[in-house]
Amino acid sequence: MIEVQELRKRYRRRDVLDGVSFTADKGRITCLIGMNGAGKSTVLKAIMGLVPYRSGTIRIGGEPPSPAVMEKIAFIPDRLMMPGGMRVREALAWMQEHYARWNPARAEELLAFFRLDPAARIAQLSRGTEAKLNLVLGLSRDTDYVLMDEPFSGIDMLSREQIADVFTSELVERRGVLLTTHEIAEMERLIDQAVFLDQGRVVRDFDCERMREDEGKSVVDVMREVYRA
Amino acid sequence: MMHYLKLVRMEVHRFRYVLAGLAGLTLVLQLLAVWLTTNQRLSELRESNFVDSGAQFSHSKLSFTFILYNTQFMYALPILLSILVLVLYVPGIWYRDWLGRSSFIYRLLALPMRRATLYWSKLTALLLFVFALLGLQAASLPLQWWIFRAMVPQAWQAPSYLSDIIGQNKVLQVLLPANPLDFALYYALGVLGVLVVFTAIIIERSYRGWGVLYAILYVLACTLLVVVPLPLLGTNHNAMGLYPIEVVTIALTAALLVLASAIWLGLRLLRRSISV
Repeated sequence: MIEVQELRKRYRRRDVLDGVSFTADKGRITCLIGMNGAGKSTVLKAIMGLVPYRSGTIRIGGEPPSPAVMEKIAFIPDRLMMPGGMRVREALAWMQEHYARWNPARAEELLAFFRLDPAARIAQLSRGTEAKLNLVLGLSRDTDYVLMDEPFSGIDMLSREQIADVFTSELVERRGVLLTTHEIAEMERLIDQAVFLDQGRVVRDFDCERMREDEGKSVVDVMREVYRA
Repeated sequence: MMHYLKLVRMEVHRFRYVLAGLAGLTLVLQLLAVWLTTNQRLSELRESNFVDSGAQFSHSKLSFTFILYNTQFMYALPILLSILVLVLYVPGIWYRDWLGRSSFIYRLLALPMRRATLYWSKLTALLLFVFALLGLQAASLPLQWWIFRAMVPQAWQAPSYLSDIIGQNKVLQVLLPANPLDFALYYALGVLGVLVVFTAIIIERSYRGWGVLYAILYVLACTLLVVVPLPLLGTNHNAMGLYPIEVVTIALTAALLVLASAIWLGLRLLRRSISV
């Protein structure tokens, strides 16, 4: 389980995170939902140690973040974050070189699934192809948790469908997935837990299935309630 | 350890074309400088010998030392250019990872390793670049000497000695000092400078806007600490009435203090405060 407790961060005299607390369980897809600037990406970056925070605690599988824990968690940022001069195959080799839990067979499988050209240069990839390679790099590691920052942002419809298929496959089945999005329509049917963020605070945190059963509301319905209130 | 070696290899790989370019330029320009100067001096010598003695025998000779002394600018140019590129690459080796929308620093900081590994790998890569170019410089001297010997008739050759050869070029003197203590001192000061700049960059990357000011103040403070005792070194009498050994101790303590604080602060900020 990923546990985030009372996470606070100030940036340019603004509370970017103002006591954010939630958990993301293994085997479930948890989605951080919010408008632009709500603090979704900052939470993921804080979990990965990519931005400092003022106070609060983060635990991954019961342990505080450490180099060993980083082997258990894959981060798929909103951009590919690989040097443009690299070729696809070199990016895979770089990941394999640095991660003990890299699964080369899965990488090949995903490469074929997304029809990526191993010889293509990263700088020449389209936004959609870049997003697919980003997924390959993140999902080819045998990790317990996967963090994804806006996996559908700026991607064409066909690529979105292909990426959405990943969420229903065995690739994420037994892992804990924590993702952010402000385009909930794409993800609604896939997510188990929704955490709504607004101005650095958690304003709603619920089980999507239970919400549908108990109150007959979809995630989008709750979203309208929260953000139009 | 494996992460460290892999990161060093990656840094070397990323800089390989620039390094090869600098090495090639140094080799070609210095050989050209030696060839042109030898040619020029040779024709002057031929002319003077012909005028003086009807080309029966030569009364003056050419030495490789003399040739190097007369190639000052062209010979030093690639060395100075290499130094400039490497100095610019000290901040470059960090900032290139933040460049663009797809900044590689995300991947580097998220690697399952202690972040100090990244810091040491970048320092090691820079040292490798410096010593690779230095090694090439040292290795190219015998080649240049060989070309000189091939061009100048044996009868016109005056002997040269390696220690004298290096002393002929002002830049070479600093780059390859004859005294091992001087060598250690120059390069230790260089490493200290690199580490101070590393820390300044990490300060800036940690605090961004205000970080620029903090970084400038930090560099100024370190420079003052290291530079102030230096003019007193090697003097027997100074305004403060200190013995030479006391001045050396002060200078060394100041440098060690700056070194230790640069490493400590840099690594601490890299671990706790740096931001993508």
